[in-house]
Amino acid sequence: MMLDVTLQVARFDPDLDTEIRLQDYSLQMEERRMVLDALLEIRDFQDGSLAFRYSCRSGIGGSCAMMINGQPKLACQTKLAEVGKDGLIRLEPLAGFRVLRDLVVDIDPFLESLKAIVPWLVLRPDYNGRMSPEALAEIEAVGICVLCGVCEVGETQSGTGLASLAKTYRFAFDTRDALGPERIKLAVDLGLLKWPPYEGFAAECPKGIEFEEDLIPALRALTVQQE
Amino acid sequence: MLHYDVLVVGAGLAGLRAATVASRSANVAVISKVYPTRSHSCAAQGGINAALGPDDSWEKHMFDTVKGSDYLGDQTAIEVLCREAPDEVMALERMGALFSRDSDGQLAQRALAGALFERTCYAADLTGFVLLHTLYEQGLRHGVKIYPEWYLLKLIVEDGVCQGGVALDLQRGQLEAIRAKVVVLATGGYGRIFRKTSNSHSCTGDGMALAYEAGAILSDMEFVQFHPTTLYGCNILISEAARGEGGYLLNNRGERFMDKYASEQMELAPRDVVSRSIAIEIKERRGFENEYVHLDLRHLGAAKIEERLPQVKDIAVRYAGVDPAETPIPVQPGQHYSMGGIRCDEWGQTNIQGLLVAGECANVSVHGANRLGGNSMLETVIFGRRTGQRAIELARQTRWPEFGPQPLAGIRAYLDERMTGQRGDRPGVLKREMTGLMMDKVGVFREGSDLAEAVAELRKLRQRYEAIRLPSNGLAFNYELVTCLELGWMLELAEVIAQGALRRTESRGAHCRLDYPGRDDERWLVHTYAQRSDDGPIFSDGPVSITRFQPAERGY
Repeated sequence: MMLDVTLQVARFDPDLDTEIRLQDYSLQMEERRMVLDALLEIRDFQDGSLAFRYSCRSGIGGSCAMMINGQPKLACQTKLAEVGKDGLIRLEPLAGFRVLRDLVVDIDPFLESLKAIVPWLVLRPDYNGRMSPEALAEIEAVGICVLCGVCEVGETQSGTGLASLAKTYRFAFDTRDALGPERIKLAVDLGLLKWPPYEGFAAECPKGIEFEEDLIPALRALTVQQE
Repeated sequence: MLHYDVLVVGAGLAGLRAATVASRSANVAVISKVYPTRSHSCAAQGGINAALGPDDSWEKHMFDTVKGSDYLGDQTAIEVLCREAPDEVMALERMGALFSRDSDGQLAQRALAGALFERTCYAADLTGFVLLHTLYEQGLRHGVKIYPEWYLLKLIVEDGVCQGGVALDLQRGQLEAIRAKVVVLATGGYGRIFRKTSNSHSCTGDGMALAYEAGAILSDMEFVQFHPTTLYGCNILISEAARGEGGYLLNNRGERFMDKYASEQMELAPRDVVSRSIAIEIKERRGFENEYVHLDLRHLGAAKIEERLPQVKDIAVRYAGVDPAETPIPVQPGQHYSMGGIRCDEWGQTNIQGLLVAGECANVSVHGANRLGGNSMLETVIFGRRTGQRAIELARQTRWPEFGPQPLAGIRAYLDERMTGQRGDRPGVLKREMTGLMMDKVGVFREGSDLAEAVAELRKLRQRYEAIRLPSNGLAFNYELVTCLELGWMLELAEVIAQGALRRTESRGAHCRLDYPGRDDERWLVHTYAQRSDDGPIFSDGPVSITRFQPAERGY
């Protein structure tokens, strides 16, 4: 089934604009296609000047996070039919991030912030090469963070620290890691262990990491133990 | 102007492995057209091969790889690949990679196609993602300098020596010359030349084409891998692990048709064999909607699918609306990998001094005419590491040369000339024509007449490409300009692929000529070398290294 959609896309040229303006693009696309497919269609056949990031188109690279009808999502895994029921889809840059052009935002401060949590394995000297499947299962699901920035959106400023928290969890519970629980102290010191990160926080991890249900309670339980 | 001992181009597995090694004793920078964790390596799923089991051995791994390559792989290089695999995988594990485990806590292994052993280490079906993030973390740990969204436009080669490159910084919209004693290209494949491909949008063969333009030899470009199971509709990869874990391929009569084509290895015959089998089933009207066959995982059960194939499940649900525990997945062959690339030796060295290459953009050649599953990630890390080591040595031996005139002016003039206001075709229009042409005429099955037509059509597309002019929208985040440049590189490579395929009058591995159905070792047990001239590629033959295993008939 073909779908008539109008994409209302945020445009911003730092050399010309003082604020974001919205530009409408209308096109027909198959219902099953994704928002990213529509953006590429527009860029290739209607308006080459439209700037947005993209690469894998399968939800594993994390390039194409943006606000879709007000919610932060990956454009490559958001169906046109899902969001375009009335035929209108509003696309804006990730909220709280500095806009560089159109839908492209500055993710360097976000990526830079990860460095504070020692985001690599510090191998235990007595590691014997084994890890039980159960121990792996504890951290496997959190290891899927693609660094897309969706959970980092803020109303006025980006940087909830949730991606850092996911990485903290992934290493703190890694039985091979020498720092282990020390990492949680570090996360507390960095102020990462608060929920919700701010009033009204409603971002959903595109990879299904459950901060409120899984991550925060497990990390808090460990903090209590340590005390 | 920037100066580095070593300039690495590309931040996927090969580039990051090279950079983390080289940065231990050289001044290294990495430039990449996307942020490192967006590199296409993240989309690799099935796993990485290493002969770890008590009954397995590197020799057996080597034999499977040589046979899989239809005897075109260079056995000296394949020996390196297979001998060094166990240590390399263990090194990745100790860097933090979250490999799946067996009940004993050791690295779990599964069988992938064309292997006689359970030899593939894996992280569920997210192996590339896990390894890429692990190497990214190592890059942070070692303080590797990365310039994200810098797009290489030219290699600087003076008197036959590579001395750096010119890049476009997409964020600032600036051209930058980077002088380096050694350049390592790790820029991946060109999958986007074909309409149906599992590859990311970024896989446009830039590095291969830039090296070719600079005088490097491209080798075996006619060998293009079509993966048997890409998702019908969008061609996102459905991992071979799905068959490794026991999945069946079924036609519209519900038959496991692989028993007709490869009665022993069935669904786990090598990719070239399975892709051809699926294509025949569809052609002979035993597919669905004349487009796809079914990959049936239902008998594996929901729990196993969730544990071993979570991404396959997620992709099937999200992009095809199919839960594989309940319904078979619609799949069809799609371009997946380039066996060919920039010719190099076991240390990544090309025919251009100072230019090293690693990963999919390179042709060392460990895959010959057909790559086995689990060997591409292995190639990236092993030859990435070796190239990093060689880069250190080369940088030590090399003195900074006298630089010629600034290389920026020529490129700036070229870009200015391109951006004088919209004229001619939109790049997107030509791209659509090129990808359709390559899919139809240079695909799974090939024929002389089709290939000759493709060559002629590509020449016309090339002329139209030269006439393209773009609006002058500056250089910052000008993706229209980037896609236009990418299209130019793809057209260049498509010509080498199509002409190489026309020239090779035999069928071997992934190169299947309907008009020359047999393998012809007497004439064609050679690599195809191509070097650029203004009139198109100039072809010659290169020798194949045969050490342990003499060419034999290849049955599965």
